[in-house]
Amino acid sequence: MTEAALREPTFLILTALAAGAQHGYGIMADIAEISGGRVRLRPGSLYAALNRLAIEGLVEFDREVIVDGRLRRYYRLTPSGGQRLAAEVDQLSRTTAVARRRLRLLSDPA
Amino acid sequence: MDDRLRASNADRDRTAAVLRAHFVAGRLTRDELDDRLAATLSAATFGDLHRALGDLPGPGPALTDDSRLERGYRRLLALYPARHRRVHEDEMLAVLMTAAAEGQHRPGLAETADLIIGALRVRCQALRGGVPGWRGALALISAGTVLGLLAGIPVAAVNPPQQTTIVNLRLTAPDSPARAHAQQAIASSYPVLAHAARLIRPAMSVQALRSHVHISLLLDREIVVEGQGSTGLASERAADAVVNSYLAYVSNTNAPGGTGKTHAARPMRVGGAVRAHAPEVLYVSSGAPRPGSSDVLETGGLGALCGALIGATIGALALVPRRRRLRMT
Repeated sequence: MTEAALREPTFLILTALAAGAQHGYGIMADIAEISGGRVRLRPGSLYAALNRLAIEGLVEFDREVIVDGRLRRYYRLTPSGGQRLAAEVDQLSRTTAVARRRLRLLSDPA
Repeated sequence: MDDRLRASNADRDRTAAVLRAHFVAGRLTRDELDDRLAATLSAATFGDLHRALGDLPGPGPALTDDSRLERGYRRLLALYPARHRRVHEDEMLAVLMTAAAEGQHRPGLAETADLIIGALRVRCQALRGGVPGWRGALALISAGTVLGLLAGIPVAAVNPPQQTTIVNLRLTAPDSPARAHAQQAIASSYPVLAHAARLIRPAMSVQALRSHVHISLLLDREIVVEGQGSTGLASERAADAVVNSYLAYVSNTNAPGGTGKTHAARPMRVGGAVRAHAPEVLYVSSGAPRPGSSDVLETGGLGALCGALIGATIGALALVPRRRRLRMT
């Protein structure tokens, strides 16, 4: 089965959740950290992506807690979400391995 | 806004200023104003302030930054499908409030765009999920509506919310209403406004300044200068310039037709309650700038509404071939 490559925000959301269940703001903060501050997901984009991932069965609802009178809902990776991320990581690492080999040839033609 | 929240001195002052402005506009009699001011000064909660404003049009007592921000976000979240809102609204609001900057009191432009696009994407997802019949129709129409709202945003952007600053000048025991009227006439006269315009910007025309200030008389003993601008600072600057120019003029009244040149060199800073150095004026009190209207959706209201109607029509039209196609399969 060939699937289209995950878009970066989706990839980062799945990566954030791979460490365990997190709530919306936690995912946003984690993504900013993982990407070294390069990607800052805003709430509207985050929830549109989460909604799609839930429809596709890659993430699911974990639990909710109330903190300071405000609702926090936690999300976690489903087994198929974990597989999808693993497949993507394999594909990416094959690509980066090729790129690295070719770059080495470029700098060291002998 | 929760009526049980406790009101602060600043909230009471703002409400008093709003009541005075309504009196100036002729919506309250003098007795009504006095009664309501008394109620305002003894108000403990926002509910009390709301009751004092009661039947008057316009925004209620100024909301705290947080609740104003929350209201702005809820308005944007209303663009999401009802089913999504039932599950996610409170949660998304919590994330938005946590991510908001310190002291932020309305959704930013980028956040607004992000939420609108997010709402559109969620609606499209519901559509792709193969929601049948009228559900699908509603989803399409509402997606069109969101597109229309999106088109309304530029209208809101070119029509930014106005801020208002009100400065009250208490006159020294005017002998007669006629004299107070004369003082008001002086405050709105060409020489005073021309000088005020120069205080703001050398090239500013009196006509341009007139569109930013409104000068009226309150209770035959106070001149009320209302400055308006796209920012709090701009509204403050307009009101201050007129007040400074007027003060300079009346402290130089021995020269009829004088333009207050003697004081032009060092304009007085008006703020809080300052004792004025002009003989005609007892004191000056200046309110904090307050918003005329509070958010992008409100100011762009008409444009957004038209956009939404057009969007809904497009959504409904897009539905026709879709239903035909469904019938064929």
